[in-house]
Amino acid sequence: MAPIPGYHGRFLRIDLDSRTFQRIDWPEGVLRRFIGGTGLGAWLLRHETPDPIDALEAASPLVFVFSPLVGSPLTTSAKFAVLAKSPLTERINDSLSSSHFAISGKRTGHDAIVIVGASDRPTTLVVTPDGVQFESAESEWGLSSRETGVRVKTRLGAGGGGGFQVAAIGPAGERLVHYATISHDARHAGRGGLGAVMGSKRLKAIAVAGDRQVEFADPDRLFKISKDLSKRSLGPATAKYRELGTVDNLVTFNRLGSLPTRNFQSGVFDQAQMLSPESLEADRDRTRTSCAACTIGCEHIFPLSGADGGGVRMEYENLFALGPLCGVSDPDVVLAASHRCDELGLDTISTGASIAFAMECAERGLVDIPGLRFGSTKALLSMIDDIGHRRDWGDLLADGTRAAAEQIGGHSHEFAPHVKGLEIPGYEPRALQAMALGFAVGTRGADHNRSGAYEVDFSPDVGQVDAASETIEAVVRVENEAVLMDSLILCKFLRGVFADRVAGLAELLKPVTGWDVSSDELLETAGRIVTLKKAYNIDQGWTPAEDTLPLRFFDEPLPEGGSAGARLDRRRLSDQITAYNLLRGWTADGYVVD
Amino acid sequence: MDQEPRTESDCDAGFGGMDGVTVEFFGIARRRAGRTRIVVCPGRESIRLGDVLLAAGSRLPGLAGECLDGSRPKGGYLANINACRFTTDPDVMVEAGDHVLLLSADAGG
Repeated sequence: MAPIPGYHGRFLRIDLDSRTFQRIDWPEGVLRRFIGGTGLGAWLLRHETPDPIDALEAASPLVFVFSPLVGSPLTTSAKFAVLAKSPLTERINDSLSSSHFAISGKRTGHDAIVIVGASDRPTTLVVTPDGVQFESAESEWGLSSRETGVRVKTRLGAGGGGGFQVAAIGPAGERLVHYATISHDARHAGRGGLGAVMGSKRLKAIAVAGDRQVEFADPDRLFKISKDLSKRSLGPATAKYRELGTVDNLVTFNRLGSLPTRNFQSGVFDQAQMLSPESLEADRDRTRTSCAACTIGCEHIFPLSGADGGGVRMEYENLFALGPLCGVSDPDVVLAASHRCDELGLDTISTGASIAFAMECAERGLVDIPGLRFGSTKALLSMIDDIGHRRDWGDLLADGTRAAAEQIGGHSHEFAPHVKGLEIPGYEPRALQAMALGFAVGTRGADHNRSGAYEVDFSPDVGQVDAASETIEAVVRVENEAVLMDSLILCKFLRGVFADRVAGLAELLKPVTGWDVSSDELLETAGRIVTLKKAYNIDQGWTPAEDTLPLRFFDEPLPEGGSAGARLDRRRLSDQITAYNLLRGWTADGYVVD
Repeated sequence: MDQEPRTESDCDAGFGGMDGVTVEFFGIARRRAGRTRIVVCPGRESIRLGDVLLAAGSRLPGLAGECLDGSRPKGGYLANINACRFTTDPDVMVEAGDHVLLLSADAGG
């Protein structure tokens, strides 16, 4: 039977224990029910993991998933999802990344690649339409993902189609740092420690190449809407990303009193202007680039000063986490810190948050780490290296703030900035309380991309967050939209170009797959995927007590700025979570009803 | 919005003095305005947000059209009163000494 347009109709399952592989056809109905990316990955993960499992044991599956849109002319569609059980949270983790790996990976003739088992020596997987080769990675072990990519590409040569593309881990992944990344072309599947899962399998890199193309159901229509979408992607809805990049958020958030500062002790950083886009550009020749198949071009590359040379891509999240969160305002230091994280293969949010947490512990006298204080640039840079290599105190922080707080004690858990073990990104939850709810109920922990509830906070329609049904409905709505974008997979920076996002996504899916898919069907799909992720977590030991935030956010009002006095209320958040669970069709305390 | 409701005094009304309304620009609005802030409507005690934005747009032509649609923020943009309250409603009243922030509605990072 011919595969559904947009798909190859099968996935590749690789067993590193036996060094074998098999191609498996999708069961009927799975593709339409879960689409691709996050949705299809969640299905694969639960299918492969019916029982509780340790994230870093050999049997723990690591899943790379493409989508029906990959390979189409739709802008920003060159994306892939990586899923596994997170060593940081012990819950489901889905991270997205972009660019040529997605295109070449799908051209191998597979919709997804599942990797189980572990190799007994450093290995690179080489995946083509002809099958899988298991190559030694002894000579790349210890290198950065960037260096690994260059070496593997050089060794393998041109390959089929557009040549080999490589996703790899750095030294942090090899050392099982619980927030190590998987990187490709300087972009990262960053959150939740998927690089550690790869490292636990002694899998240094995956190289993909191929020439297998999928059919599209209505190529003429697809071309037409692709052209239209590209045109709209160059309009005012994305001007911020093109001209300034996400770094622009920092000054805005600071003015609103919602910029996490000094380990979430404040929402205002008095030196924020030093990290504004204007300041970053003042003495530096910024350049701009984009992922493959993207018209937006949001990547703003800043040159590094001194001996490091080269450049580093800056986003709001690495700027906030390695800057204000650690009390650091020197742009050159923040750029260097971000570059070091990239080279080691560390998630910048969890790295910055772990160091900021340690800085507060040191200032409170809970730990004695020489020189580690808020604003200490030297300590920031050296601690990043120590985490990446699991040296000294860095070894403790390499397991994340939740685990570190358990070791440090002394009430440090009250200000360890995480939800379910995942460090909180740059959205102050006391000032952005819809986002706080999104963090609390998020299946992968404190995450702004899976929830997107900050959109509700930045809304004139809601304004305040309480248990009102329309507020909770809005949080569910933006989460549904996010999970659909993560399953199709499209860049979220396109959100603003759709007058009706769900209807817009349905219009994109139709000419690719031929499915007569409606908004209602997509919304049902979104709910199904969120519920599947929750069911996975329940399988793995989730309890309702996990759906909360650290005590700091309830007990310490923000001291200054536009959100001065704001704090979370336990009863109100509990009511919101109950309302959210019921809207999802779960029990009031969040269990999935079969 | 929380257990200890924020009051006007918690926000920064009066931050820029009582003579006029200060409009602060962020992101693309700052680029198009070519400046970080402007004071408009001096001598008025109470004024519609729409009139504040119209005044800002008339003095900063780069702003009008791309970030403003006459008296209200254009799609994709928001106004915020005193770093406390988001709105796009031109009929919201602001007071002399207030700060109106003009910023992108998309806060994705």
